[in-house]
Amino acid sequence: MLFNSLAFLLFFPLVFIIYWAIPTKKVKLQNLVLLLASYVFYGWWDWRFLSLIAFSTLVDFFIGLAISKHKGRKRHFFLMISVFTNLGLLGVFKYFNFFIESFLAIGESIGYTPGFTTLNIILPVGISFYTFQTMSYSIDIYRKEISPTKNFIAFASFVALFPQLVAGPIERASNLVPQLLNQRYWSHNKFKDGFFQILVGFFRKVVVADSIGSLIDGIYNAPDIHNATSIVMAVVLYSFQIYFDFSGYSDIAIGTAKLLGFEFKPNFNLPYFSSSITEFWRRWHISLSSWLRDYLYIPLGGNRKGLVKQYRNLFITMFLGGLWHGSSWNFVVWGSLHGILLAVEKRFNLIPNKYRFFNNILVFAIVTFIWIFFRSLSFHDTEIIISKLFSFDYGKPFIGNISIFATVVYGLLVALIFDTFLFVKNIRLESYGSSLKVWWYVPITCFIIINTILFYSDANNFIYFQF
Amino acid sequence: MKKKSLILFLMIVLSLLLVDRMVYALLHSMEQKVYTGQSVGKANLFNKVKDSVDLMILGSSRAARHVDPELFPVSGFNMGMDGTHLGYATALMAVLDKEGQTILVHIDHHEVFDDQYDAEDMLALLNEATDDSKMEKVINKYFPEEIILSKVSKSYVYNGKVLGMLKNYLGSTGAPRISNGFDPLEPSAGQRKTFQDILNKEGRYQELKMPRPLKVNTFFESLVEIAQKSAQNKRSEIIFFTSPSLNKVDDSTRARTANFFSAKGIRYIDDLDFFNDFDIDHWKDRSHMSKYGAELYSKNLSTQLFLD
Repeated sequence: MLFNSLAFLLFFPLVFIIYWAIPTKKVKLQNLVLLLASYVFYGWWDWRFLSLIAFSTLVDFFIGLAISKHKGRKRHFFLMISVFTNLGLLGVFKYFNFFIESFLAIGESIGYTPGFTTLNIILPVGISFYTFQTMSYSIDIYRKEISPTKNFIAFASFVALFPQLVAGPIERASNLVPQLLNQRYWSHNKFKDGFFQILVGFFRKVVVADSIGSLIDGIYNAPDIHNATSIVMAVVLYSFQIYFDFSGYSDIAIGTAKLLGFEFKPNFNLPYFSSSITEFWRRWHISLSSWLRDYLYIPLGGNRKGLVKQYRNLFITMFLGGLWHGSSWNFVVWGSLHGILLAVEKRFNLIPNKYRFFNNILVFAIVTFIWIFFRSLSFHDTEIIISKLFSFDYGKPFIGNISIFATVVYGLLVALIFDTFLFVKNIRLESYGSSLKVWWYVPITCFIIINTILFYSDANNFIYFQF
Repeated sequence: MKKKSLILFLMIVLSLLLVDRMVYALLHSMEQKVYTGQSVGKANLFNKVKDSVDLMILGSSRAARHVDPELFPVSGFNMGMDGTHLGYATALMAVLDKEGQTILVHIDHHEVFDDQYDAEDMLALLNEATDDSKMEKVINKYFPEEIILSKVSKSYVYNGKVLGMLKNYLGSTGAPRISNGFDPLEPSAGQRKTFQDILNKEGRYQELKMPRPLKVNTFFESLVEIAQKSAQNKRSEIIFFTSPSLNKVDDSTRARTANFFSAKGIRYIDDLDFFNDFDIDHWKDRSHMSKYGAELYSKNLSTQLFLD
């Protein structure tokens, strides 16, 4: 089920009413409602893949208990079962064809034709998110950072909780499981914050990101027939599309969770106001970057084993971070370039201590350039786009439908003014709603809703659903 | 605390209903004065002339760009619209009140068999449906939830239309402009060169792949039946046609299309291969003729319909 669908607009109020109609003391019953709702939410897309979530849940629930009961090598053994099971699921459903195709390509290039082929495998939505979430649960128990829960319903709800199930944020058990085990109380401020963040998320997604998508998809899908001006426009706008698409999704997820009494960690913090690539990764997809830091970069040695190994660790982390996004070499190159830039920043000490406008522009330009690898349909297209960027064949840009173009300009302007306001005033969106007095809250929410109604673009999938 | 939140929520809902009605009233009054632009202006022109002309042309951008009503011996209006298909045309037909009209509906072969088509294009007329119960009835048959939504939020019907409408409103004199709806394409030298480059690279003709087995889309079939009934009720003649294109369609698909209309007792003209020889002056791109090509084609179509 998509957040931006009529089904969700009916589903959520129903779940909300049933959930809060249950006395807050009956936590188990509330969790059961959440679990069932989450499975309906996911099954709306394809019920067959519910078995995968259930499998991953069962494995890590019992492995978590087993790790805590044992000592020494057995703990390690059980941890490895969790890691191999989760990475195995990812490997089969997400990377099997990628590795086979890469192997075949290498084989053909040296004149050898291997005797195997790819399989027709459907990528289950959200598999990258929930496998990382369950895996971190077992790792945290292994590290003795958390204790396993014996409450299966609470654990299953942690894995499947519908606001974050299909595209994150990747919640940690240390944050979410205790909330599932304890009573959730209604809070007026939480309601104001959550409702406001949902509305902002919808505006960001369906007005800004989807309109940009309608405008630039044609350019990215056929870069060879467009001039340099159109290419520049598409490249810059894609930077905003992916930001508003994914941050919009996260806003809706975090806001929805708030309305159910949960607190998720922030997932975006105005990343395009970063003065360095390092800062960008502290503000962009925070739940993934912190996951990679805690479960990959630090275990690899982090910055504790000398500078050369630190650069290596940064590169490996971002290389795998790129691969996490999708089974394509484009993502690998995208992640690797970020890894190299992070290492260069560290090596030459280029990270400013405070906000600097010119650094900000430079970082935006670099990040925007690297997004080309992320968005292009192939290396060939990436090559065309980059060569056109520097061809200086500037002319009239491709505008397409004037209404869509005008919506992009208007939506982007409103969204950027709002983001600049949050940045200048140092306000977190997650807590902005409750800071508004009623006479501001009501007109602002009405403004957002009316604008969303008037300018929303056709419902598209969220970009991060494919990961 | 729950009570406080409920009161706030109700305040938002009530304010929203009020603002929504005010925005709708404002946009609706602006809409009445717009006679330029594709979505709103052209529909207003259509409303002005629909019950006075003898020939009505409906369909996609290919209809809008390919048929010049001036070249027909009767008064006519071209209500072809970019990005629309049979759903849009059928909803428009529901509001034609004049008897004895000739209604030309443009279709392409792939539309007949497209298993993805769901008549969603008719939703571009939601704003018109608020003023016309006959159109609302047609839309309601396929999209009842959209009609419900448009009752709850009245401004919803202007989704995607506001900025274009505002631009045309600000540049409008308020008086209807004189237009027959024909919107020809006149490629610039640069566009001709780009198109020639594409043809050199990809070949002059492209074969469109049709789904197999050929199965008529159920939405398409039911829309044809509604359109046919609307025409019969007004003793009008409905004719479906396919205009020339550089996208070629295999013979079996074309035969199935012709048989489909023939079985319904509807006249169908397949002019896909109207031009025997290729001349780049006839074309803007693979799907659209230039003004020159469109005029040659319109003259021929006029002869086929009114002189033969």
